[in-house]
Parts: sequence; structure tokens; C-alpha cells
Amino acid sequence: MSNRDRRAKESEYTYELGKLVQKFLPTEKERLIYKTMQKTFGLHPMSNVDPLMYKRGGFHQKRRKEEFFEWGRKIARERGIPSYNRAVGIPLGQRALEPYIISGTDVIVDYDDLHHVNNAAMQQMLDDIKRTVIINLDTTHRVLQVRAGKEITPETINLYLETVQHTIAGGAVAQEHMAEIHPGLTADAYCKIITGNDEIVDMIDRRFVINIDKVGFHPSRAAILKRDIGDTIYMVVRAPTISVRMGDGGVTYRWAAMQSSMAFISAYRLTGESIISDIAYAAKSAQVIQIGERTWYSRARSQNEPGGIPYGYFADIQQCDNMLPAEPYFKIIGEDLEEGRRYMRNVAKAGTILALMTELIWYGFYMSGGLGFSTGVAAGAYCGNVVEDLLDNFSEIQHVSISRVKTVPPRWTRIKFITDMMIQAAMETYEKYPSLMEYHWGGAHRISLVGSLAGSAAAMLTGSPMIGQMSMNYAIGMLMKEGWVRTGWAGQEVQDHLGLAYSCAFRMEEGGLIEFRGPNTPYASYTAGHSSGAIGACLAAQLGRGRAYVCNPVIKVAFADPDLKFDFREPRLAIAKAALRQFMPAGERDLIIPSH
Amino acid sequence: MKYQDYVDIYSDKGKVLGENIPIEALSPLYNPYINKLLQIVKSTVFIDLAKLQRMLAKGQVGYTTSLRQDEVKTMHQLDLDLLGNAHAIADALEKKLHVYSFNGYEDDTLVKLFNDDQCLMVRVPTLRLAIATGRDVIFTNVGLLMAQIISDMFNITPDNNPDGCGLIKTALFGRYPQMKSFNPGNPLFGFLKLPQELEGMGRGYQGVTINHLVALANKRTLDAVALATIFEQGAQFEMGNAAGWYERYNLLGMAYQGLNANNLVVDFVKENREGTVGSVIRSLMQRALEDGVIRQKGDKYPNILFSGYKLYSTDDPSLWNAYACAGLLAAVIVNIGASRAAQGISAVLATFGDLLIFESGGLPDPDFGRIMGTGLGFAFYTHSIYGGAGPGAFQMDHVLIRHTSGFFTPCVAAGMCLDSGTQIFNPQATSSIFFKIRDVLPIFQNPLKQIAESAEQIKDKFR
Amino acid sequence: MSEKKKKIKYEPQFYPGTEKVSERRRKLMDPERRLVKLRDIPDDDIVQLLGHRAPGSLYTSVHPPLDEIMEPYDPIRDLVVPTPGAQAGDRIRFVQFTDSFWSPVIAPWLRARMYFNRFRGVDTVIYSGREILEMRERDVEAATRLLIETEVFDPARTALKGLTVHGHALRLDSDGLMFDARRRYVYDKELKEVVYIKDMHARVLDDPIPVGRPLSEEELNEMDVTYRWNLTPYKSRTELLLIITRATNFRILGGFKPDLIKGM
Repeated sequence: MSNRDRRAKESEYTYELGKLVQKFLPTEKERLIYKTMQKTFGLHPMSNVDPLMYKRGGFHQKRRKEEFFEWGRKIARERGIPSYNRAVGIPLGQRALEPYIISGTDVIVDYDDLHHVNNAAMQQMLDDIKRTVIINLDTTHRVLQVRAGKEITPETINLYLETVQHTIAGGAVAQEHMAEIHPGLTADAYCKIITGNDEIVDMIDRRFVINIDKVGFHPSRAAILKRDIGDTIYMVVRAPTISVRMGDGGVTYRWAAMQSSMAFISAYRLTGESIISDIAYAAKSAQVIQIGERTWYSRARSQNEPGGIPYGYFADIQQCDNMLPAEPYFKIIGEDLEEGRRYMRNVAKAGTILALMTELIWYGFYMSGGLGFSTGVAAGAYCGNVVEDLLDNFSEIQHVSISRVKTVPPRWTRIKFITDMMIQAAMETYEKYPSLMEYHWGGAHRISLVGSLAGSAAAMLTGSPMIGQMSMNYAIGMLMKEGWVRTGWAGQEVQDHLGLAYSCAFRMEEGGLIEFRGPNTPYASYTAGHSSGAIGACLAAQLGRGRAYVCNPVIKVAFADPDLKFDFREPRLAIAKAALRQFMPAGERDLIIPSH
Repeated sequence: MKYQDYVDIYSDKGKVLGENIPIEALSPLYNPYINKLLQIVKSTVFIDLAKLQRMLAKGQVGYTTSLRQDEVKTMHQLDLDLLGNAHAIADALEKKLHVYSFNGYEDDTLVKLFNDDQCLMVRVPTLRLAIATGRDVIFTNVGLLMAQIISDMFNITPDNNPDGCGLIKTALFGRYPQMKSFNPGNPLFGFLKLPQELEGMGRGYQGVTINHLVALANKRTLDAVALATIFEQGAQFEMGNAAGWYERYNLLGMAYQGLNANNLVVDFVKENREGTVGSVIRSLMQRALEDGVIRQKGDKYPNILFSGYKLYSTDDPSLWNAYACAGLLAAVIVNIGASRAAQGISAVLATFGDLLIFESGGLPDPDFGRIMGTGLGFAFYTHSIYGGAGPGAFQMDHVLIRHTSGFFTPCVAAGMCLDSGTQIFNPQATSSIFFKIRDVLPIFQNPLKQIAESAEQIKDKFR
Repeated sequence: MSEKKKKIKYEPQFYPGTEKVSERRRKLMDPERRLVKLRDIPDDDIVQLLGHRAPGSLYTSVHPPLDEIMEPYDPIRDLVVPTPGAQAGDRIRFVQFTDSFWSPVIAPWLRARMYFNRFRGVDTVIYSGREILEMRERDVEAATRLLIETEVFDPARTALKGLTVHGHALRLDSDGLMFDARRRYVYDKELKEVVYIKDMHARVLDDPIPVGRPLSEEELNEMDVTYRWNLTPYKSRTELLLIITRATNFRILGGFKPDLIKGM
């Protein structure tokens, strides 16, 4: 038995930490977490002493903080009212202001660069979701044929599509005296067709189509997506970023309905006839797929805002799994550990989008108005290679546990022991690495991360989002809690204790598929820290079953579009680029303001 | 009694159904038929078992489109023979839902299969409604009990099929409570929309799609008008719009426009079988003068202007309004009856008032201009890029069409009955199940006759 | 009720006012009064201008003829006589006119009033510059004939416009024609007539269709249906102002409490 395969006996934990560390050091040194924590803190990561504490030079440790300091002084001078001011509050930088390694890359950034207001890629990710709606064109085509007697041919569809690129950007088609938008401001607005029918794809100008075969899906996935989308012609509409930055997500479907209807009017030479209201109604209501729906009164937002997006749609928006073959995960992990790890790592990569969209942007920014705290919680999902390290561990546990098993039934009683093993391994990692404990300095960080991993891992084995959710609730509300007698911040356990009873219950605000719960579901709406886990469970269940999407194939394809500003396949790279100030977002106003 | 107004109620064939009915006997408060109908509307819920079975089998739940509804394809399926077990499901539901006769309430639970045993109609016992603040109970209790029954009957539990449990709940309730409403075309549905979708106090009874009423009336024009009137006036009474100064105003408008009082509407239509909206206006003026509802204001200037144009005056504004509303309905019938195309409804509603004002020397147009204003908005939105859809697809509480005293949507319902197949969003497309519900709930058949008969029963109490 | 009844011969009055604008409005609204025919447009030209079907081709239908449809029983439906287009199941088609602001022979709201007095089976929406009229196809063709051949059409200032309807508020071109971004019509200087070179949907016609000479300024001034400071000033139109004031007052008071307008 190699050193790496050997596990510590429970009795060995009675030893004093330092000695134990020496014993396991050769093994630990091979771990990703060791390497990144060493890089992050510059010291022995398994030591629980920071010899330089209080002696690190305050905020001057960090270039970004110095920049902020200078700007604070400049603003105060220019406007006469003080702004950012290091003279107030506690002196920052008494501890190590550690750099953040973006997982899976060599990029090291400052923590402040990951704040959603400082990171243009995060904003663009949100904007790209808010500015997308999908319209099924079949009803419109039927209205045109039946009520107006128009012929629908490849030529008319292409003419329409060329016209709609113009109208969606704010160009006029049917009237003089219409104010038009500077196309430079709306350069990111366009429409594309999605269909599963190859013949239709061939007939449409390739500039106007998201060809499922050519946007990076593994052929086995592309085949499933095409089969399930079928002959229907959907049009995905991207309103310009500036529209959702001025208004809100509810602008998008209105913008889309109006401008796509204008293009129909022009391309098919219609006028103010009653059929136009049918066309507009189809686009605006009957046949539109919103990404998100409206939220409840107390947290009222319009459509397409993050709170109204169901978990299943979040899981379909991310594209990190596109290149994986559509095969059931438990088969893969049983046979080939490395291939299994590839699956796991892609779930981890997807976690970047999920954590940012829910923990940081919805709960942290939209709902609580907190500026700063939730940055760290979300960063847990994509910084420091922590998730990767733990998932490597998990996949090993899974490989060993189920290599001789034919199926893993979606039963809680059958999956619990694996969850136990995995979460205990994760907890031990924190125990072994005081540096990691400092890195994930709040319970919220730890439970979000460990809970998500528990949920994903269980869902991935069983193909059941519900089992994933149960596993997450159990891991946080029972396992972690009893191990350390502490969890996250005060209200965070709400979801774990309610969650188990709620999981399958037939009660009005309980139960239901995880895919169609979401941040607007009442018990989930006021406590953060679990949404990314629930989404992860949906995504993982999809991989567990060898499917190509979670619940909406059209949304899946819509966000595989390479022309989107934010790259939903490689979110970490986009965020890293933005942290380095190299990411170019859309919706800027430079064209209409003085040069600066 | 408060009011000295008596009307005769006529059928759509011009036959007297009830004579000398005091208008208060037509009030939603007192008319036993209307009262019962509103109670049934409020307490009845339906489960489309065939659709539920299909959704479970395909895993197509949580969608949000109203046509096709196939954009979602979940990873869960349940192949359950709900239809084959329909009778057992109905029995089990009745057992679970029923209450003891207690506190003065009888157990009036009713569970009934219809549409070839593919649909369940469920009347929730009054006692359950009586202890509730609102009418949520019909959706909550029936839906959740249905889920329990499926679980019991087909042995689906968190232990053996956790996602199956989730699928059942989502199939019955859509994305609720992640979404505020159920899916469009939800298998669990009532006549009215969900209480939390109310767009204003007292608008409950307006939360119904006009095409549903057209289907409930089996496209018989004056029946659809009567049903729309009942729903509208139910809302008017709940909103307080039909109280005090307005009670008589609403009752008269309801009687003359909605219930063909004194055969006014049918007379107007008969006189103008080959006429126009303009000719209906002239019939209305003639009839109002003959009946003494309006009178010429005087014989000389300033009551007759230099051009010879005469001013008219009314001593009974509420009755004049009722006449005007009856004329309005007749005008819609005459115009749409000619084109047999419902898209022209809004045009009549938008312009009738304008024509009437200038014909009558400025006398108030229907509902004091509320009809005309609403009609113009309706015309624009049913004919433009702003996304309104055809007239029948509107719900009565839609922000565009709810601004009258309940005299607008009966005209829309009438027009939809007369459409011969030009609409995309026609009653068959949006409301096909309501054609069947009409069969299982006879209360929706012959509403005019039933209102008149029950008014006859109570009319002596108002003397 | 019935005992109250007395036979009264009601005289329709349509519209108040003594001056020529009122009189013109009254005339256009009154279906008993014939509109003066100013020009002849052949049937095929009307069909081509509308551009919904080729001349001589069959009408397309949206549903079978009414005689062949089985519909549920409804005495009201049986009462009203359908138009020929409805009877045949024609598709709904439209004609749309834009009326210049400058001495128009007809204007949108007046069109609605006229349509509802002269046509059956009408759908119309009233905008500021244009008005659409939707009817069954053969009905709309018949209506179009009246609307183009008679005094309610001035070739220069009234225009058939399907899409791109803009122009009513613009100044006129050098030939006195209303602006059209689609250039559907031009003034033929030799013929001295306005000629449509495109149909209503702005598709080029095989042969241009003349629609007659533009009316002279004097004629237009005479036929103008709107009040205008230099022709028929609005300020002194006491009858009309009296009626709209009365109507406003009734709406305010009656809208507040119906009984407040008793006997007024």
C-alpha cells in the first residue's frame, strides 16, 4: 500500500497537530491544496501559527489598497467631501492580505478585484443572462400563414433575420421620424436561431444560427440536444447590455417582442392590423421563454432578474460540461478514476457561475445590500483550488466505493455512507490546514462549499437532484454541525433543518422538483449559502444520468453561443481577465460622453 | 325595497322569461341563481387527469409558455395510470376532502368525473371556505390531497423515489412558490386566477378569461353576455363600486345590457339586422325617447341650436346609461354579426360613445365615457405591436379592459360568440375544457332563463 | 314601461354646427346622403392598389363558407345578416389611408364615424395620421371603391399606405403631394394626375395606376373637414363647443354620481 492510499486511523488524531503533520507531510505535499495554500500564504500551510501577524505593513501590503487610498484622497480633494478614507475604522492589513489564485489557472489577483463592482466580467455574466430571452417562432409563422396568407420560405426567414439584427440594435424600418440608437452602443445586440433540424439549419444564413454541432458540444450531447429540440424554430434574442443596465431584466422581453415584431412588419410587409397584436402577443407572452420569472411582492423584481431563475435553468445556463461525453457518471467513475475526475472538475468550474449568480449577486448584492462579505463566500467556489482538491479526494472515495456496483439507486439510505466519507474527508482537510481555515474564515464559506460538494457528489452518483439536496442538508445541518459543533452564520441552517422535511413533502411551499425551486422559493429566499449547492445538485444529476441538459435544451444551447460577451464555458478565465483589467464588457457609454 | 324599477327578462328569441321583476331581485346579493353560481365559481376546482398523466409520463413540468408547453424536458418521468384509476382517485379525494356537518355548515363536498372520466371536478366544502380568509383553499387542499393520493396509490415515497415526489408536486403546482403563479394551462385549475395574482382589491371574479365564458355558453351570444355580466357584477359588488349611489346604476345596466331586460338588446338587433353601428345609435335614441328615458330639453334656443341641432336631457341618468349600454351591446352584435370576425369588437367599443355624444347633444355615453376610453385602449392593443392578443384571450381584470362598471367585457364575450373562425386565440384553442365543464355543471346552461326563474321566486319579497 | 310608449319620429342629427365644416362632417356621417363621385377607378386597379390578391384570382378564405360550417345554436347569430365576404369565409384584409393635416377632405376620427355609419362588419383603429379599415376581403374592396372614387379622397393629400404610414404632419412636396417614405405615388406632370407606381404595401406595380388630379386649393378649402384659423376658425364655433362642454360636464358629474345630471 502506497503512502497516498493509507488513511489515518481515528486514534491517530489524538496526537498533537504538529507531530501528526510531520507524519503525513509527504502525502500532503502532493495535494493541490498544499501547493496553493503555500503559494497563497507563503508559509508552511499546515502550521497554525502566523509569525508575521501584526507585522505585515497594513494595507500597503496590497497594490490595490494603495490605489484605493490614492483615489480616496483625490476624490476628497476634488469634491470637497471625503470618500474612501483609511483613517476611519480599523487599520486593515494587520493579518496577511492574501492573494487569490483563480482555480485552474496561474492567475493571482487581489481579493478586491473579485468584488462584483470591481469585476466587469461578473457584471457581464449577469447582464448576458438578463438580456436574453427566447421566442418560439412557430406560432408567429402560423399567424402569418393563416391570418395574413404569407408564405414562409428560407428566403423570407433570412430576410426577417437580417431585418431583426437591425431593429434589435435600435434601427428603424417602417417609419421616418423614429429616433435610432447609435449602433456602437448596442453592438452586442443580435438574434440567432436555434433548431434541432439540420435541414432548417442548412437553409438559414449561418451568421444567424447557433449550430448545435459547431458550438463545442460533445457529439453525443449535440445529438441529444438536437433530438429534444426537434423541428421547432426558436429565436434567441440578446437585447443590448445597455438596456438592462438602464432598466432591468424585465425590459428584455419587451424590447425583444417589440423589435422582433417590427422586423416581422418590415420583412413581411404588414401594418397595424389585428394580426400584429397576435404576433406581438406570441412574442411577448404566449411563446416566450423568459430566463427568470417575477419574484414575490416583498422582493419584487421583474422578469429575467436572478431571483426568478429556477435552479434548473441556472444549471442549463452554465456551459462547463459541454465537452463531456453524455454517459452516466457512476459508470465512468467506477471504471476510470481520471475520467471521473474530469467530470468532477467541470462541475467545480460550473460552480463559479452558480456561486457568483446566487451567493454574490442575488443574496449579497440584490437582497442584502452587503458589499464585501459575499465576495469571499463566492470566491470559495473558484479560488485557491480548494474545490478541486476536495473533489479529487471525493472521486477517489467514489471510485473505491462503487467500482463493483452496477447502479447507485437514488435512495438516501444507500448514498448516506458515501456522503459521510466525503464530508469527513473535507472536514479533515480544514482541520489539517489552518491556512485553509483562515482562507475560508467564516462558517458561511465552509458550509456553502462543503454543502455544495456533498450535494453534487451524491447527485452525481445517483442522478437525483433530490438526493443531492438531502445530502447537502444532511452534511451541513447534521454532519458538520455535530463534528465541529458549529456551522455557518445564524440563520444559515434554516434551509438544512427545514430542507429535509421540505424535500419531498406535498405542501404548498414545500417539495417539488429541485429544478423548479429557486432563490424566490420562500424558505430559500432569505438565507444564502445553499442555492449554488441546489443548482450543483441539478447539474450533477444530469451528469449522473448522462444527459445533455438539466431541464431546458433551448436554454442550454442559447448560452453555448460563442458570440456572447461572457464565456459561460470558461467563467474563471473571464473573471481572471477582468480582475487583471483585460476583460472588455458591453454597454459602455464612451461614444456619447466626453473622452476621459 | 329601495328601488321602484321593474323589468321583464326576455330570452334571446324574444320570449318573456320573467315579468315585472324588481331589479333588486337580479342583484348578486339576492338572486338565488347568481348567488349560487358565484359560490360555485369560488369553490370549484378542476384537475385535468389526462394532462397530469401526460405531464408525469413525459416529465414536462414547470414550463411557462401558453402554447405547446414543451420547452422543458426534465430528467424525471412517472408512468402512472391515473386515467385507469380515475374512479378510485375520485373516491379517495372525496373521503379526504369531506368534513363533518358542523357549526351550521352541511358537508357539501362534491367530487365528480367528467369529460370521459379524464377530468375531475371538485367542490370544496363550504366549511373549509368559511374558516378561510380567502379562496386559496380550493387550490391548496385539493392539489395537495391529490398528491397524497397519487403517492398512496402508486407507492411513491421519499425512500423509493424522491424525485418522483418532486415531480408530482411540480406537475400539480408548476413552479409555485418559486413562481407566484401556476403554469399556464395548469392541470389543477379553477374558474378564477390565483388569489395572489389579484391586480387590485375586489377584482376576484374578474380573474377569468373571456373565452372561458364563451365556451361555458357554448358560443350562444346572450348566454355568454349573461355569464360575463354575472362575473363582472360579482366583482363590482365586491369592489364596492355597486354600492350606494351606484347600486341602482349597476343593477339597471346589468338588467338591460346583460339580461336583455324588456327585450331591448334583441329589439335593437332585430331592427338593425342589416344595419350599422350608426343605425343602432338611431334606434337607441328613438327607443329612449319613446320610453321617456330622455326628452328633448326644450323647443327653442338655447335648447335647439341655430343649426336646428337639439339638446336632450334625461331625468334618470342610470336608466339612460342602461339603455346606452344595451345599445352598445347591440351595436357590437350588429357589427360583428355582419363580419363574423371578432377583431372588430374593440372598434365599436371605442367609437360608439363618440357617435352617441354627437347624436344626443352631449348626453353621457356608456358608463360616462369609461367604455369609450377603455375601448380605445383595447383597440390599440388588439391591433398593434404592444402585444395584446385577440379579444377573447383577455382576462376581464386585464389592466387594459377593467376600467368600466362591468359593461365592457359582456360585449367582448358577445363578439367572440359571433366569430366564425378568424381568431388564432379562439375559445377552442384557449378554453376547450370549458365546453366540457358546461356539461358537468348545468348551472352554466341557460343562465338567462335561470336568472329569470329564480328572480320570479323571490320577487314578491321586494314589494 | 310599455304604457309610457308614444310614437315619436326621431330625426337623426349626427353633428352640431352651422358652418361648412360641421356641415361636411354631418354629410360624411349621414349614410342617406350620397358622396359625390369624382373619378372612376377600374376594378382591377383597386385590386392591384390593395395588393392583397392578383386581379382575377380567387379570394382566399380563412374558414369555409358559413353555410358549410356547423355552429352551435344561437338565435342572435341567425338574426344578423352576414356581409358577402363573411358569408364566403374570406380572409380579413385591410385598407389604410393617411390623411394630410393640410386641408384634408377627411380625417381619422371622421373616418371612423363615417365607416360605422356607411359600412357593415367594420374593424378600425384610429391613429393621428392614418386609419386602418379591416373587413372581409371582398367587403374591403367594395369599401375601397367608395373611399377612392368619391369626395373623401384627394389624390394629393390622402394616400393609401400599408406599412410606413408616416407623413400626415409633414410639409407637402413641390407638387403639393403628401410625403411618403416609400414613394408609392408621384405627380405625373403630363397627365396632370397623381399616379401610384407602387401598391399599398410599396411593391412596384407592373403598370402605374392614375388616381385622378389633385384637388385645387379652392376645392380643398371648400371641402376641408377641420377647423383652421384662416378658413373656419374654431374659436367661434359655439354650437360644437357647447356640446363638448356639455358632454365633459356630464362625464365629470355623472362619473362622480349618476344622479347629479338629472334633468340637465
